Amino acid sequence: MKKIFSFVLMGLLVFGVLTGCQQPSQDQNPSSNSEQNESNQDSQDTEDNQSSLEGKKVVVGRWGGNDAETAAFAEMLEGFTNKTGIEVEERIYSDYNTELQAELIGGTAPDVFYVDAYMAPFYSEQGVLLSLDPVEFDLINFYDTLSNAFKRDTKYYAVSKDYSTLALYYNKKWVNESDIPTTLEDLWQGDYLTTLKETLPEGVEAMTYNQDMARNMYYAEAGGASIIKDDIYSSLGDSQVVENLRPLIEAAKADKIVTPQDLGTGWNGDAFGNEKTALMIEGNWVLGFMEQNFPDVEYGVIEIPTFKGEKGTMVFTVGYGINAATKEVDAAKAFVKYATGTEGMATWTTGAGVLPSRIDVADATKVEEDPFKMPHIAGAQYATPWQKGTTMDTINNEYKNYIPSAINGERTLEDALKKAEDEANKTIEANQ
Amino acid sequence: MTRRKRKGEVAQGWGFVSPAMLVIGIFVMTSIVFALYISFHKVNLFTGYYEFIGLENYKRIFVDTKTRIAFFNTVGFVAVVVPIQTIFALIMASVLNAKLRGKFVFRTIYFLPTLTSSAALTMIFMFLFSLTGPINQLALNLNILQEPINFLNDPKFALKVIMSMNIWSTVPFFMTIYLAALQEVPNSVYEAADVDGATGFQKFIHITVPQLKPITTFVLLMGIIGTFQMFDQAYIFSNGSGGPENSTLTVALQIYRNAFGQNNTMGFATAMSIMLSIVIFTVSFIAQKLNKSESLY
Repeated sequence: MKKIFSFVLMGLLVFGVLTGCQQPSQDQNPSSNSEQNESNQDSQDTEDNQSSLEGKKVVVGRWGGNDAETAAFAEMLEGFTNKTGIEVEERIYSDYNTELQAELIGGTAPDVFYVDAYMAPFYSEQGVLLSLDPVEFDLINFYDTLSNAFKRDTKYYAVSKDYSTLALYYNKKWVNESDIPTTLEDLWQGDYLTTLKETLPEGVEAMTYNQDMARNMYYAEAGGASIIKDDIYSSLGDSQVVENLRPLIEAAKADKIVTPQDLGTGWNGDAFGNEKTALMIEGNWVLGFMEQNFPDVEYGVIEIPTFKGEKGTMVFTVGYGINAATKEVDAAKAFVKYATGTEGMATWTTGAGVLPSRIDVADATKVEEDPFKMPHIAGAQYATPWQKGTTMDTINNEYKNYIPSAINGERTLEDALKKAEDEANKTIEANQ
Repeated sequence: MTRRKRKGEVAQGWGFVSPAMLVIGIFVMTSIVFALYISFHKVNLFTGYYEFIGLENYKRIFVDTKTRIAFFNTVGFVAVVVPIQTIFALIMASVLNAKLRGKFVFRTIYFLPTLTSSAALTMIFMFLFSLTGPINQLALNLNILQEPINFLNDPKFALKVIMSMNIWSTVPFFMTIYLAALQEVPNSVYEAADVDGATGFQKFIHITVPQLKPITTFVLLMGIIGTFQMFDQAYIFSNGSGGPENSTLTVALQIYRNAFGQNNTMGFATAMSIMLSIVIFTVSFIAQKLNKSESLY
């Protein structure tokens, strides 16, 4: 009796494992075949015939955000489904680029997914993104810096959904806006930060900064310098780049500016919110963070002081890209058009508190009237996009690696940057 | 009849292991074989490009300066962390095994670090060791330091912070294993030693340590495997860069950097992971041989 029972149990186990492996594929096969047939038929139909897309489903991959972003995204999806009848399935990733890459390789990636401008050259080079027609997606209404961030050669591979730029934040308790120097040279090389620090309470620093090309590139490249040569190789050791970075490094060496990590905080926003620093250069994502965590801190936002006589800042943008292997091309395009169209973008940006990539939406939603956002929006006109080819990861990594030695005085700035350049180029060459 | 019964039992045995074998076969064995296959190729998994390049990926391991740095960092990490954590665990276990009042409370408290996720621990340690953090403040107040040390941004200290964190968080786990093993050491041996007039220290060296040798082998192996594969702490600590000055670049981090992100060099990454497993296997083997329990009695 016992034996029979154990046989039955074992049989169940084996059966369970086998069916567990098989079931999804059994389910999927017929339906995906029929989907393929349908989409083939669709493409024969007129393209803008939306009723033919009704009942279709697109999968949208993205990373998670705060509560406001989640709510705004859900609202936008509802608007889209009501309008087109296309159902949307959200897929949220935590370690975005690692997970997405695995799914792209495995052929199970979503139809539409977030593409960080920084990663766009990599993905488009791998051929996993569908190229998009600039007229069809109305790119003329977007800020050029934002639509071009997803451009490779002459083709566009994603449509910007929103953006962030950096601006200068100051704590009103300690800093008068009119006292802040109007050039970065004055700010870092002059006495302003030193005298400011003397007036600050014990334990409060004058300003924080980051050792990261994502934050330093706009002045590293000021005056026509470039941190990249021959498309892929690092040229951090270039004498002009060295001179551009010198004011920042000298200020750091003189302890006028410190990193948020020096203060035991994770990032600038944390240090600023906890009133451990009076000034910082940060992106507009910090606005929601301050409102949620430090509503009592009074602060102001202005454009970043000029460098070498020119205005500059970084712009970070994320767009919607379409999976080149998607079977639902039309439905996916319909989604991207809606999400980056006037209606969808207005819902998303006002709900999530982010900046619209379309100029017409920026006007319509009156986002420029917000004094906190205004300096960020102004930056969109002249900002340097955080996107520079497929080797930026390696180049920036070596920059982060060697810049501390220039600040603690172990190497000269020239030495550190030259070393960072050589190390990066060695890796890049070996990877070719 | 008996033969048939035997056959039935064999079939039953296979049946019971088959679910596990199936899962391991698909998710572990095939992955290992595939990794081995990839390591001899220049691959682009996105486009399905495979080019057989023989041992090129393996050769690169020996000429690549970054990989060499990563290897030496990792070996240094293992060489410091494994002995210290083993010795500490053993000492703490034997102390907690003594007839102390409230030892259960201590055991619980000591075990807490093991239960905390290493990501959270890394953040806490980064706070503790920051320029204005408690460690620097304490050292300044006690006049041990004249000037705060930038532990996180100084290549001389960065890896040592991670070492101390790793020791602190793994000791309790191994301590628990030792504690369990200590219950098995026969009391009569200690009593005999008492009769002979052995001191507490002598009893520890001549009875406890040899009796626990098999467990020490296990602890060493787990320690070696765990430390050679150290990734998360270095990743969080350096924001994925392995900096400052490559001081926190470990082999596992170097593998990750080559496999994902903008570097599409999966072949090189898999070659490195296979080399890493060979190294771990060799070191573990040597450690086990060195610690082999000779005749105990």
